[in-house]
Amino acid sequence: MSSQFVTVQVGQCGNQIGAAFWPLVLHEYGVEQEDKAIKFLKTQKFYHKNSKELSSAFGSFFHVPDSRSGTDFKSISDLEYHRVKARAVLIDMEDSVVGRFHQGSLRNLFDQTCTVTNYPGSGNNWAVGYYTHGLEYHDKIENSIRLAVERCDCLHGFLVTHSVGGGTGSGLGTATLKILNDMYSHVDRFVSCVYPASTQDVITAPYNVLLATRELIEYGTCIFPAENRALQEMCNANMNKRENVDQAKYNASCVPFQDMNSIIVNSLLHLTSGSRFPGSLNVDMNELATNLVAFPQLQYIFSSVSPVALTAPQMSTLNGSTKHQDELFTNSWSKSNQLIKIDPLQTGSLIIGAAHIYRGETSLTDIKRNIERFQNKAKFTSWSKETMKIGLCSVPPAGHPSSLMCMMNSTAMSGLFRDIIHQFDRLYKKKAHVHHYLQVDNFEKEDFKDSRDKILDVYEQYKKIEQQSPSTISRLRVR
Amino acid sequence: MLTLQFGQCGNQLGHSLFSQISADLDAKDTGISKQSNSAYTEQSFEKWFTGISKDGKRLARSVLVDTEHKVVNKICSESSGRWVYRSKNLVCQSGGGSANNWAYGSMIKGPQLKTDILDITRREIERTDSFNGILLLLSSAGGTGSGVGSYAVDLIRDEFPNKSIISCIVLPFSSGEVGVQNYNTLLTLAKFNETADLNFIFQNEQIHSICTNVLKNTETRLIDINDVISKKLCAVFQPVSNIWCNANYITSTVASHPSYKMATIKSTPYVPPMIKQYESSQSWKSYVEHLKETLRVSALSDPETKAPSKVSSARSSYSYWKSVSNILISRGKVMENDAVPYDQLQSKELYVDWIAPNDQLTVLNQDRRLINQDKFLALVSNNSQIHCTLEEIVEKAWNTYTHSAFLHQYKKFGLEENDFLEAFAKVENVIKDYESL
Repeated sequence: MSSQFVTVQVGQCGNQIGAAFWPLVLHEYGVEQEDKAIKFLKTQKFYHKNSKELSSAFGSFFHVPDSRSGTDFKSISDLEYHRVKARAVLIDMEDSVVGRFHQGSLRNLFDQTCTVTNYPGSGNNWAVGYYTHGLEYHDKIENSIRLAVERCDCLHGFLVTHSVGGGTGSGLGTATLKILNDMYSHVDRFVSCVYPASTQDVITAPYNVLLATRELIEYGTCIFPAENRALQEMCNANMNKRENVDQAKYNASCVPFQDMNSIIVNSLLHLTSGSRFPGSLNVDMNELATNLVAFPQLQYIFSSVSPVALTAPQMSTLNGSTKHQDELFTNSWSKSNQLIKIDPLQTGSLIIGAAHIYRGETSLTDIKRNIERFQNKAKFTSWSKETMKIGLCSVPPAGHPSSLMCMMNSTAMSGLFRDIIHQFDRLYKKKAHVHHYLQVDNFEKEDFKDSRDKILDVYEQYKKIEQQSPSTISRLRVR
Repeated sequence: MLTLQFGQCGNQLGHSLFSQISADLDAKDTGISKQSNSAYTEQSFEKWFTGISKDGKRLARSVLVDTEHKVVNKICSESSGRWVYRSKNLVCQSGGGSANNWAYGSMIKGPQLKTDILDITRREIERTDSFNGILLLLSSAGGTGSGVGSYAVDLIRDEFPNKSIISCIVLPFSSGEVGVQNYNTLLTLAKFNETADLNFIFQNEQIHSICTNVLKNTETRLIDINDVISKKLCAVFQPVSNIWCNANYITSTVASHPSYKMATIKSTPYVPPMIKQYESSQSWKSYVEHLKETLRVSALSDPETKAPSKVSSARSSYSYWKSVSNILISRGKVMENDAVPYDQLQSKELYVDWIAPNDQLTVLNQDRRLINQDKFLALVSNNSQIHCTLEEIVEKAWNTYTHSAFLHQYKKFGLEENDFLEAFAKVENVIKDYESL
C-alpha cells in the first residue's frame, strides 16, 4: 500500500497547473496518452525496469475501485474501463479551465462530484473568493474533499495549487486550505502557489497577495512559492539549449502556461517521490516539515529541481559519473533554477534547514561529498549547519537516469515578504480599490492591517535569525 | 536471541544480519571437522532461527517494526537466500511514518503499536526453550527507530525484567541525514542508557570510512555499511568454543558497572573483494596489534579505518583510552606458532584501576571460520573514547536547543522543554562518567 495524496486545484491558475500535472503523472507511470505535447517527452532507456515499483505506487494519485484489476495500466481506455479516478478536487468559479478538463482526453478520470463551478468569478477580489464564495460553497467543497478522502486508506497529504494574485485562487484557495486544516488538521498540507510578477496585469494583486499570504502562513504545512517570471525565464533558457530539443518541442506544442506549469509539476512529482517509491533513505512527506520548519510560521521553502528539462535527448556519457552528480547538485543550488526570483544563498542570508531528495542510482560517497560542498558554500546559523535531510529514492524520473530536488529554508525568503508589504503599502497609501473589499460581507478593514502585521512579523523573524548571536547559555555539564 | 528491528535502518540492518548469519551457516570453507561444524551450525541456528518454513527456508526469530510499508515489504520480498522472516512477525501500520520526530514515534506511534509488539514478542519467546537475550536494532536519526524503539525498550523491560536487552544504535553521519538528528539521538541515548543492559554504538561516518578506505569501495551504499555492522555483530554473537558464552554473559562481562553501558565493536581485517584471493591473512599478532592501536588516544585518523600494517609498530609510549572491560573474540584456527597474543591487551595502562585484573579482558575463540574468512578478530570494548562521540552530539543538540529551533515540532506531540532538559542531564552524566575514567 503506497502513501496517497489528494490534489486540490483552485482557480484558473491552480487548474492550469492541474492540467499540466495529470498528463505528466500518467507519463511517469507509463500510461499511453493522446496529448500531443506529452508525446515529445521520451522516457529514458532503462525506465521500464522500474515497472513494478511504478505500478505499485499507482494508487498514490489514483483511486482504483476494484482491487482485483491490479494497478498496471497502459492506456487511458484501460483506466476508463476500470473506472480509475484521479484523487483530485477541482474548484473554480469560472468554467473555462475546469471545463476544458471535462472535454479533454482525461475527462473520465475526474469526478463531476468533485468540481465546484459557478459563474461569474471573483472579480480579482480576495474578499469575494474568501468570504462570498468561501461561505456559499463551504459545504460543497467540504463534501468534495470528504469524498476524495474517503477513497484513501493511507492519506499522507494534500497538494494544493493556486495563484495568490487573483480572486478565486487567492481567496477561495486559501478558504479551501482553511477547510482542509479544520477537517484534517493532522494531514499535512503542501501548497504550491504562484506569485504574480511585479508588472501585474491585476491591479488589486498586492491586496490579494497580502491577504492570501497571511492565510498560507496560518494554515499551510509547507509553502512552495513560484513566480511567473522565474518560470518564464527557465522555459526560455530551456528552449535555447541545443540538447533540449525534445523539451523545446514539448513547450512549443503546449497550451498557454502548460510549459511553465510543468516546472511546478516536476517539483511536485519529485517532492512526493520518496513517499511513493522505495529507496535506501526513504522520505515520508510528514518528515519534511520536521526537517525544514525550525520555527513556527517560517514554512516558506525554496525549491528547485535539476535537471529542469523533463527529458534528456539521449543517454549522456556523463550520466552517473562524479562530474554529472556534482553538476546536478550545483545546478539545484543555482539561483536560475529557483522557482522564485530570489537567491536563497545570497550574501547575508542564512540557511535554517535544507533537504536534498535524490532520484536514481547513487552512492553515499557522492552524496556525502556534495553535502559537504553545500555546507562550505552556504552560510548557516550557529546551529543549522547539520540541519540537513537526505532522501534517496531508487526510481528516477521518466526522462532522466537521475535527478535531484533541493529544498531550502533560507532567511533570503524575507525578500519575498518585504516585497509583499512594499507593494501593498504603495497601493494602500492611495486607498485605491479599498471600497471593493469593504463592500464584501464579513471583510473588515482590520483584515488588511492584521495581514500586514503578521507578514511583517514573519519578515522580522527572519531578520532576527540573521542577527542572532551564538548562544552563551552553558551546557548542563556535570562536574 | 530474539531480534527486534525498528524503522528503516533497523530493518535493513536486520536483513543484512540474518543474510550474513545464513551465509555463515552455509559456508563451506570452515577450517574444522564436519562434526564440529555441525555442532556450530546447530547452535547458531537455534540462536537466531525458530525453524524451517514449508519451502525449506530458515525462519528468522525476529520482529519487524515500522511505521510504513515500503521498507519492510521490500526486505520481506527480498529474502532470496535460504532464510525468510515470518510474515506474521510484521508490526506495521499505514497512515504515515514517524515524521523523523522522536516525540511522534515514542508518544503517538509507539502506543499504537504496543499490543502487536507485545503479542508477537511473547509468542516468539514462548516458542523458545532456552532464551536469554533480546537484540534491538535501530538508528537514532529518524523517528521510528529512535522513537518507537525508545518506547519499545521500556515496554520490553517491563514485560521481561530478567532478560538481557542489548541494543545496537546506529548514529547518523555528522554532516547530517536528518535535520533534527541530534535531538533524536540525544533522546534515544538518554532512554537506552537508562533501560537497556548494553548498548553497542555504531557510527555511519566511521563505518563508511572502513568501506571506502579499507574495503576500497568507492561507491559505498547504505547496504555496504549495514554489511560491515552485521559482520561485527556476527563476530560477537555467533557461537564460540566457550559454550557458556551467551547474551547474558556478554552483557554482564562488558557492562559490569551500571554507569558504563556503552560499547563499541572494533574488528579486523576487512579485505577488499578484489584482492581477497591473492592476499593471505596475516598473523594474529598483527591483528591484535592493529586493534590495540584503535584504543590509542590520538588526534590522527581512526586506525580501524586503515588496513592493519604488516610490520609491528615501534614501541613508544602511547596513552590509551581507559577501558572498563574488553572482550577479544578470534574466529579462525589458532596454531602454536601463530598464537593470539592477547596479553598485549592486558597491559595495565588500558584499564581503570578499580577493575580486578581478571575482569579486564575476556578472551574467546572459535576455530571455525566466520563466513569463509581465514581469520577474523573482534574486540568488544567499553572504554572512555565514547565520551567524544556523545560530546559532539550533545554540543550540537544543546546549541540548537538554546535557540529554540524545532522545539515546536516536539511540543506538538507532548514533549516539553523539561523533557529535553532531563535527557540532556542524563547524557551529560554519561559523558562525565566516561570522561573521568
